[in-house]
Amino acid sequence: MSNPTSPNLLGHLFSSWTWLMAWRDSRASRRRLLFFSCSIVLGIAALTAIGSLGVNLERALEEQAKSLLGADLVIGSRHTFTAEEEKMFTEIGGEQSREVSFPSMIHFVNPAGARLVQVRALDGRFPFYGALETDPPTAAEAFRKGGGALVEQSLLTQFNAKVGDTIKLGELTTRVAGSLLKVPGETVIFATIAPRVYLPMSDLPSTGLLREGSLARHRVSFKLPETVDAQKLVEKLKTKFDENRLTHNTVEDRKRDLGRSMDNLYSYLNLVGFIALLLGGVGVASAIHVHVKQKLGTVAVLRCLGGSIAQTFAVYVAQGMALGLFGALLGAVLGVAIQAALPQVLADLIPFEFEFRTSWWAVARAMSIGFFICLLFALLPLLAVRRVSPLAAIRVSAGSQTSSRDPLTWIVAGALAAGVLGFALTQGRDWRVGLGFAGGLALVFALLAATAKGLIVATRKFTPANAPFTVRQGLANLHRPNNRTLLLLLSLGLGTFLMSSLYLVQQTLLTQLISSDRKDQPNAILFDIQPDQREGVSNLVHSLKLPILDEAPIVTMRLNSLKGRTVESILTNKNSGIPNWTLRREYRCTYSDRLRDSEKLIAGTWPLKTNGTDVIPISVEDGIAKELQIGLGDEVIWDVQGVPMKTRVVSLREVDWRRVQPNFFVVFPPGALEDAPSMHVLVAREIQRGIRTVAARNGERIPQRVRHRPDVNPANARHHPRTDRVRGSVHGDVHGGDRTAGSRGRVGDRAFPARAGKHSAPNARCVAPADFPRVVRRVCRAGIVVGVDGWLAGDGRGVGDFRVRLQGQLRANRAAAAGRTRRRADADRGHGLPHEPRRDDSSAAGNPALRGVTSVLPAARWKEKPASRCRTRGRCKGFFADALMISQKRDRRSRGRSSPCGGRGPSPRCGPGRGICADRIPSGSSQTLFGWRRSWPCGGQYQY
Amino acid sequence: MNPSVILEVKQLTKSYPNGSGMLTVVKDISFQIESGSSCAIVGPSGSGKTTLLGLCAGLDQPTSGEVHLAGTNLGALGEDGRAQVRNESVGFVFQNFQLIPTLTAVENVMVPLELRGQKLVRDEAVRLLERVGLGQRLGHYPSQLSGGEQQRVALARAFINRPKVLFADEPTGNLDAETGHLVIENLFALNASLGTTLVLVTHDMELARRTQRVIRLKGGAVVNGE
Repeated sequence: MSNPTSPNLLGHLFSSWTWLMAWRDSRASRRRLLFFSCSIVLGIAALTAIGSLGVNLERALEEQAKSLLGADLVIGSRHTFTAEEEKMFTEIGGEQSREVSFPSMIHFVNPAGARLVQVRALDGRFPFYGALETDPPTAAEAFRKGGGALVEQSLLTQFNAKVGDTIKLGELTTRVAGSLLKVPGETVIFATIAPRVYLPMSDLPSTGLLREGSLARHRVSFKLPETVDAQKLVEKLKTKFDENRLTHNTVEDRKRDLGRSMDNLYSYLNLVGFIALLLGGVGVASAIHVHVKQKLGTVAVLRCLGGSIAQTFAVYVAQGMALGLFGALLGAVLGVAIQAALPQVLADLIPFEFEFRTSWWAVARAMSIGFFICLLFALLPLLAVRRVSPLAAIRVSAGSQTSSRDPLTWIVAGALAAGVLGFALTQGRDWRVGLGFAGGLALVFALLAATAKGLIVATRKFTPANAPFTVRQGLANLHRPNNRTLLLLLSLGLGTFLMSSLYLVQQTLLTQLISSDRKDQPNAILFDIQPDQREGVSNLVHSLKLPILDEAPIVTMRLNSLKGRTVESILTNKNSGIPNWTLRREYRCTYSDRLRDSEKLIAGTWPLKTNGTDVIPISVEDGIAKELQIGLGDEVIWDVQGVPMKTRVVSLREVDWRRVQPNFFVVFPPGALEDAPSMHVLVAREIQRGIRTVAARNGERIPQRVRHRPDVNPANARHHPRTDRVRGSVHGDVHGGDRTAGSRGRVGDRAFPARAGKHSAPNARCVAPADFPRVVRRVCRAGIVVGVDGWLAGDGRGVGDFRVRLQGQLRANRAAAAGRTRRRADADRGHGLPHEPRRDDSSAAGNPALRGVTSVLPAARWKEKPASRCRTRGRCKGFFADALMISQKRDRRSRGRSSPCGGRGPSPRCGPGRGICADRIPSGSSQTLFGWRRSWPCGGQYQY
Repeated sequence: MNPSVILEVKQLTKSYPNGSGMLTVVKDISFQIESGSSCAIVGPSGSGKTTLLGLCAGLDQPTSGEVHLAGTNLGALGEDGRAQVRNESVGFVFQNFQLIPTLTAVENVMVPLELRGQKLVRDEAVRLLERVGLGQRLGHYPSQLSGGEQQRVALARAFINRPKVLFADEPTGNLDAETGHLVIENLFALNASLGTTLVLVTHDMELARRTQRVIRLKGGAVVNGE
């Protein structure tokens, strides 16, 4: 009857009469149509705002890349640079700046107090790009000339200290030259974990803190001549870097890492926004469906009076276009307005400052997407116009053909599917994710459609004839001709699906991340407890009536060979497929005969038992086993702090790394490592209560705010000058050594370079439980708010609700921004969003090259090892010790004491201001406790 | 075809699928109507009057048979072709007026010419509305007009494209006698003045008698053509 391929549609769309008629025809329904166009408004607004956000982030990254790194090239090492390396640096040329950083304790003299900090001794003009922000501003330069130290502002606030006060770092007594406000490329998260203290390099020797074998990070930053391409330089020197185990970081590296993180956030929000738009589209389709039903008579009259199919169709397509255009315009305007709020909303997630400027490209893109999605959804019901018979003007029953026979229906549906698929594919780096997203949506659509059809059939067949009139009539409306069962079920179902999905995602993430909130879950991990400290720490925890939920010994080691191939040979083989970080990292292993709650045996045998042979049976975590390409029966030789140990994989475990408890890649059987230098980790709960107890015992006051909000940093809350600003914060060079704050004495050993790449994010790991929930909540809420709009839009509800909701969200965002007193999420290296646990390759330490592998149980060999080979010598402090700050006097007493591992000689970490063994813990002060609490507010989640 | 014949129906049959079989609504009907004449199609409800009207006007396609309207075989045309024929040669008056509710009276009248792509047609529409006595109601919407006024607007719309054939389906069916009479007077007056062929479908035998020819239908077949 109709001509589905009428060629005149486009021509008619350019006819003034078409638009005039569309305008006239819409007179009675104009408000309603405009109202329904609001269905897509927030979806388009979200796409507009998010699109602009993406453009702004990209531009900010481009503009600030150099200041994010502070230099053109940064080379780092865990060891002092060798002569060969120094020669290489000289050849590189350019301006250089040196930095040595390590964790230590700072003492405030008056008022008294101590706190773990990250000491950074600086020489040169770093940062070459950007600047250290200090108060007073002149302090940034003054301290370099021996004018004191720059101390993190939050630290000064915490200890009621001020510029000019005296502080002690090791044996150095100096004064506070200024408060440190900002370091280019670093987040304030540093302040919460280990506040930064800058010293001039010339003062470093006076501290007496760095001695031979001390764990410190050495960096040399380069400002290269403009003619030198840092990236090419790195490529050229990469082999040397690898050979010398030097880390390197360029502006491009930083941009790439940050860009990847931002992409995740951007893609997530974009997809949620797009779903909202799709739901809005369903709402539009529903509205147009009703509109068209009401217009069938008019269409029939127009056809009767001589209007062609294309002519009448064009009238209603024009209405659909106008509707889409209005929605797109309104959405764009709203989106541009929302942009103003986004910096505040996302400040926690964005690790650098960015100025929000409207991206007209993003606006146009969002409008185009919104317009075409709206039009396509509108076309589905509008196609019915083409099928209206002019006979309907005189015979109502004439109606129109069913849509399923109309090929254009399938073409439009196909275009919609292609649009969704195309959008999804462009959002992710992995096409499979995009395909999964589109496929998931299609599946949900199909399920909902099938459910609707089933409902129609069921109500038609199974409505009881003797049911009450209202029931029969009500149910009959579900299957009567022109019912809207399918559309309503699609819009309601899809909206509910989206909402429940987002909610479930949020809940799942939060459940995983804040499981410590459960009473049976730990919320504190004390680690780096030396064997001789273990009893003291346990007693203390018990005395505080805190449950010790888990304990584990930890022995650090490195891989020596896999299946007969040395690590070095594997590293040189670029096609090995084994990630370098798995080969270079320091493994923290334990020995145990029990499986933890977070572990599940998936292959092999358990428990592990030494069988008296030279080969030790071990259990390996399934994921790392895959990375290392090893399986049951494979031989692995470890370098256990200088002693080679031959092992064989006899079991594979699956580990839930999200659990707040000690988890291990490798587990040894009891009897294999007891004599190896080790530390212990202790897992407890309600440590905050314990801290208060200790504080009360000492008659000291814990700030009210802290008592009620243990994860809030009151210093930042009250005084941080940028809590209400879009903040820049990128990059973390604090690695595992800082985290553990333990001295790993290494004499003559060459440390493996700490990874600066994606696998190295220890701070994120420890920060995650506290900050990720906020991040997850924030992001998920953003998604949910957008999703709710789409849901309601699909359901055809009021724009007033949208406005109220949006206002509510904006208010919440403002409140969040104003009250942003918490630490910033560690967005560095992709931690703006929750990810699967990252493998920590942070704690690099020295490791001598093994000269050969012997197959003897190593206990005796460790005992025989000279102190100079013992990497854990002097580790007589830990976080717990740091936290429960011991008096300086007692610290001194610990100096020169035998290290738990048997190492002799002066402990590099036992100088003034350092921690002390746990048997003196009860003398800890509340301020330090508070500081400790601030350092580890999350309850910890560590991966050993 | 005789050039004086404006409408020629040959062995026209229309059937609809009805359950397992076919329901034939119009059975093998043939007749001719000469240009400028008037004809009434009468018959009881369900006799196929409206179906026949729809077929004659090209609103529907017959199952078999032919309809020649203004010299054009409608069966040979597609939907848009028939629409063009309707636009150029046919006017309609419906029982329920079928004015477009969102258009004012004058806009409703303008539609047929606008569909042709003609512009500046307002004056003609106003003139016709004045002729049917609605010169003061140009800007009123159908909902603001009485039934008789709406039907007079419909009359003006039907005549604005100067149709060769005017099909009227129960034009007074929804009007009271007095208003109906007024509308009919207008209808015949315009018909006479513009030389339009008039095809009326009606139950009203009095109205039918005013036409030059009456075709009686029963059970879908012509039982008497006067």
